[in-house]
Amino acid sequence: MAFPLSIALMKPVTDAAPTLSADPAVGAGIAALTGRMARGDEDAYREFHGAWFHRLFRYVLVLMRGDEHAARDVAQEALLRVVRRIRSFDSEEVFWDWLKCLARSAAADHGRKSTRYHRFLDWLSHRPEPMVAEPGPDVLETALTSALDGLPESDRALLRAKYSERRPVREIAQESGLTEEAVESRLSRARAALRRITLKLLRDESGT
Amino acid sequence: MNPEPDLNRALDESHPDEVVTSSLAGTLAAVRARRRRRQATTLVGTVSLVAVALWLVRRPIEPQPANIARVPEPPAAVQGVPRIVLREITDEELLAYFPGQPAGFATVNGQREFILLPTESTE
Repeated sequence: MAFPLSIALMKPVTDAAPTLSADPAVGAGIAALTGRMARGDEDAYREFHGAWFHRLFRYVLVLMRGDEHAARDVAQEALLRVVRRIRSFDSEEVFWDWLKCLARSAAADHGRKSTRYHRFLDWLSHRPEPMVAEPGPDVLETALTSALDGLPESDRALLRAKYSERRPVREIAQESGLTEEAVESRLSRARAALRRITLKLLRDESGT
Repeated sequence: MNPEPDLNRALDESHPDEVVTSSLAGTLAAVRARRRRRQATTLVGTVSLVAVALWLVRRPIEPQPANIARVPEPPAAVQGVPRIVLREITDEELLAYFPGQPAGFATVNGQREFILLPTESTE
């Protein structure tokens, strides 16, 4: 299987434009949303989580090289840092950059084998927080595409119909002569396989 | 640049629901804890301010130590003796204390002095 992740990792850091989220509410009301979050509004945090969690998690997944358990911990730590340091943002891009910064900082802390003593020394010497390097912009997309290529043709066609062509499950079921439940079941298995291969590719890339 | 952008959604939907649910629950718990800390800090700050204000208002007012130091201490030898109040008087008032007696002022060696001459009754 061709896997051009090495090339992707060497690309310059240009992930400034947030192209991963399709939720229009995210960009429109970012100032209002972050303002409400800064005031401690729980509903605002629910909206934020619904709109940004998956995107943040995908980013952390790449940072943690496909280690899903570590990615969960780091993503949660990044969210806790959001709660502690939230302020109002006027731009979605700036907000996303800030989120990425928190995520990299959380990833660095997670990866460090230092003790509280070393952290205390860091604090005493006013050292800046350790950061994990920004990954290339297309690492995950490249891995996903490669993972898709590694799936059986039937799963690949099913995922493309559902996610690339955005066709409803009912239509896919009618076309394939299956029930909607059967299509959902096959989609679930195909998604799990896609995730498994993607994470493996990310892990393998970190080992090379 | 990204031939399969919607595959991200496939990856998102492949995560178990409990991952998202527990993450949201943890985030909201942190929000509540932060709010409680803020409220506690505000309460402690307010109580402290009120306590300081009450103490300032109700404390007994005492003379400043610096002012006490400026008051001249009475000589140790005079302590216990009734205090004599001295008042400066004019020449006329002085002469009025000796009515009918030969008294007056004279300049002796360049200094003005009060002179009281003895009378027959005093001799």
